[in-house]
Amino acid sequence: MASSESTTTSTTTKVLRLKSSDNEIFGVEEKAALQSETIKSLAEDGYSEDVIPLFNVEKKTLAKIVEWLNKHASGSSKEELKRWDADFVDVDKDVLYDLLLASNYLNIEVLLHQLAQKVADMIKGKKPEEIRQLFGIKNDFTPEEEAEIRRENAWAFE
Amino acid sequence: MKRSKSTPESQNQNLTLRKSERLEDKFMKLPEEVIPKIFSKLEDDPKTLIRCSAVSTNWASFVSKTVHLSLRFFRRRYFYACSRVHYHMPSSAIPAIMKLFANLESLEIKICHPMSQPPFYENITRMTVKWTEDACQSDTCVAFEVGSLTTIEGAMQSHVFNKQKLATIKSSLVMDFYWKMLDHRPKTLRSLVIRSAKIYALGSGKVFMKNAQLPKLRDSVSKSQVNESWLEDPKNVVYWHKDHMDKERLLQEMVWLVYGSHFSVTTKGLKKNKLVVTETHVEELLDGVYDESNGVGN
Repeated sequence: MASSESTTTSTTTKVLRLKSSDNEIFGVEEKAALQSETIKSLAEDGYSEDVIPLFNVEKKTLAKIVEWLNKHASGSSKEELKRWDADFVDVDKDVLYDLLLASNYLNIEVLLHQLAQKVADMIKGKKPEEIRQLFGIKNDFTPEEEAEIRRENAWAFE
Repeated sequence: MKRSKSTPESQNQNLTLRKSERLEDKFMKLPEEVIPKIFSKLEDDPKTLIRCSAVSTNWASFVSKTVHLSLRFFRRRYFYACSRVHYHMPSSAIPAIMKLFANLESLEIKICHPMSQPPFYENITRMTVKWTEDACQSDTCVAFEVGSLTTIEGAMQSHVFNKQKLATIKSSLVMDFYWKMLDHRPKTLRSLVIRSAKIYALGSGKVFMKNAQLPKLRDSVSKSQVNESWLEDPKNVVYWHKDHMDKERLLQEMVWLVYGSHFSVTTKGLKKNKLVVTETHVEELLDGVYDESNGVGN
């Protein structure tokens, strides 16, 4: 994952051009962009000289993703990255879902795990009714079914 | 008063509800491989996972797809002794939990001990069970403290008693959970680890050795000096868990005796063997013990 970052060759930095689904183009240093496995394989397929089309990511999400890619290729200290990442995922739920989808599509494993952790943290410690409200989920259990789960696992609902 | 306060709030709630209805759609549309990633972040938090399974039938099916889980149990009702850092559940909860997590492949059970009065020995037990198509293999390691390096002679004298102690540790809690899991394990379960630790003094170094190695130790320590290179030799000691904080305290490093047993159950019956305890076994034994004990001593 981080192994490719340690190369110290002083070649001129190559910039890849990424195009969002709504046709915005972002220039990203190759080193940063290749943290995405999807971009990496597209680049290997010969797209690297032209624009790399990312059909599934809108510009507002791609802007965030590019921000993340740049930060994680910038050689920041572990502590700083940790703080920065915590701020980065501290977004409203809509944005969080868009980022989840995008990081999955772009196959950026580290980011995907950070986002999954964020969603998990939102769920942690909440009661079922609070979780339903948080994600707008309809309770489709029959009253008997729900009562059974609660009765058999009473300790978890205290 | 009440009404004027509740109106803006309920409006707010409507807003968030409407907003989150759209979110719900998105959540359901998350690619199949992403949802397990979210739930996998909760595999050390069965309480939240069980609550999730009561959210909706869809969420219950997400939860039932959990493949790894970690559970913590307390002994009897003394869970207040370390309830600050993690949840505990009664052992009677196992059948219902296994019903919700019907696709588990690996499970870890940690048993927390209440504080109890000395002179009980500090001890750590770890049992690993692996299931294959037609067999069940199990390794158990038990280590318990017998005294500090400088007081080891006294410890050796009381060694007969230690053997009895060992027998009680082995036959108790960890085995109870093993039998319980045999009755209730999901058919998919391949790996089970049961751990039980009873440790009060944190941060002191530990010298792990086998019973047969103990007599040789007497020749290499005196009241005032410990031969470090002797301790570092794997021929003499199974594993030396050093207390890096303070070299001066070397003489107070505690000696732990470590035992291992192995048994396998196949269609041909039960076979029991001695387990040759290695450094890796002891490292596994210690793995996580320190984080767990945080709540115990305080």
